[in-house]
Amino acid sequence: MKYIMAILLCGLMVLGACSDVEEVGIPLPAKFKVESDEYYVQITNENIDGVAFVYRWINIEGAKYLFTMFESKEVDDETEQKTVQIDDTSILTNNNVRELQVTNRQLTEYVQSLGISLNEEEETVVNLIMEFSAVNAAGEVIKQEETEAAATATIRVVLSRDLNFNGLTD
Amino acid sequence: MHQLLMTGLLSAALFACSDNETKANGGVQSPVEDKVWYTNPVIGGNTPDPSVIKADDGYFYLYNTGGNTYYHRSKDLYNWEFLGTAFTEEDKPQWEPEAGIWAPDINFINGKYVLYYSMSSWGGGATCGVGVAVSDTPQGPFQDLGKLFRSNEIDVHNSIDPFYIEDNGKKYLFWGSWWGIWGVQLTNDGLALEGGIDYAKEHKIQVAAGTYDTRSYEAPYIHKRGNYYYLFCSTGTCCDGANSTYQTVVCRSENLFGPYVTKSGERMLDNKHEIFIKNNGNFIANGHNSEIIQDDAGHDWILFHGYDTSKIEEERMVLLERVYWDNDGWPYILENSPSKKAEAPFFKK
Repeated sequence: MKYIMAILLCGLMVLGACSDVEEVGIPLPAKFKVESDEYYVQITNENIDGVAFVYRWINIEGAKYLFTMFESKEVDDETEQKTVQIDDTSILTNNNVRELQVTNRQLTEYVQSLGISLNEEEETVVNLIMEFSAVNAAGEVIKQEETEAAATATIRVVLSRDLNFNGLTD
Repeated sequence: MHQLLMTGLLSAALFACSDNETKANGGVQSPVEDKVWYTNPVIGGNTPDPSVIKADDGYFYLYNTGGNTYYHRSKDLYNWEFLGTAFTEEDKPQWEPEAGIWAPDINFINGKYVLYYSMSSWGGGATCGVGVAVSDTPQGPFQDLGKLFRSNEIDVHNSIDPFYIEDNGKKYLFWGSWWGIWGVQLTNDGLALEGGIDYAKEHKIQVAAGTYDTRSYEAPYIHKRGNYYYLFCSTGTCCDGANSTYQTVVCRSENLFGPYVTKSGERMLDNKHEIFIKNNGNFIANGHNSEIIQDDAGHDWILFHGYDTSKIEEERMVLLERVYWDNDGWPYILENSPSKKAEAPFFKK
């Protein structure tokens, strides 16, 4: 009798232990969320190999992530916008958090590819906008509880007067 | 037998879940390294005129104008803990009636913490002056040793904002506010004027202009680097809320007593200077800087006060900024103005 009770108890433990991961139908997380919508970066020759920022968000199962960076400016009463696509090199970390690390060197290269030139007398300040979206296999932005899994972050980049685009070496 | 059976069943329970656990955590990696940030201001609410020192207990101690001289401590220059006041109500300096204790300057001299301070009140330029107090620890209590001089004794109107420096084994005190920046020699213990008040009055040396208004300078600080002495001062209106024009300026010299000059050789004695910290949209009236502190990465940092434009009513606050040096040996901060958020100083744990 004792053995039968033990077998039944362990059977219940098996089901109980697995129940939290077997449950379906509840999106996790309930709402899409990114860590911050504002970043400040100062880049000098000295910290060119350092981290510019880490973009963090709650992972969405099965999603593909798209990143676009651009500087928006008015030229002859028209908004001029050049964009640069950022490769998704994000990684999944603890607690279902996904992280994309952008280094100062990468950010400087993005700035260069946007055609922005440096001022040698004083700092060059660039206000970049990074658009981010999580899309499904069909390329449509994923919706969670009517909220689109998309976000915009502003990145204020200060490029030091001592920074030399041409002198940047790997 | 039944123990073996139980062990087997528990193992089966864990194994049954292992596939799901792997799927849930599949591809999980350690979080990536982020930089450490700080946000300005590093000390809020009405804490002007910072002076900072690294004490032998490993903490930085920052003293500023307010009450009986507020002080804070920090391990990293950006997380500050308020500890109290350097003086008690009973033991505070009282040699200038109805005056406040302003613009402290903290130093470590001959095994003692030595705090130079101003005693003044608005409009009290004739009789205000500079005093000195000592303590065995940075946390005090500081024992007031009284005044070194008043304006009308040293013959420099509005004698406030002291700054101590040791050079070639001799000790000096610089001070001044709008009536010129001046320097005198101190005694070997740093606690008195070398030769007394009459000698000091006769031999004091002016290093920066006085225009008798806020177009000239106050809050001197001299930093020695390489072959040069860098004289930092503040100019403009300090305390006019949103209308304040205060900013930090600098000149340099190969000699402690000058002449301090701009990049183009113009003299600070002629009211010429390079702008070091100016206003921006986030912070205005940035001045009265502290000593320059070096972190464990060899980077220089400076503290100063400014108004946060989003909450002017909270008065002047303490800001922190990294000091860079250009190829010609001139100091600058990025954008010549305070950052909202920036990479933090580095100190070993």
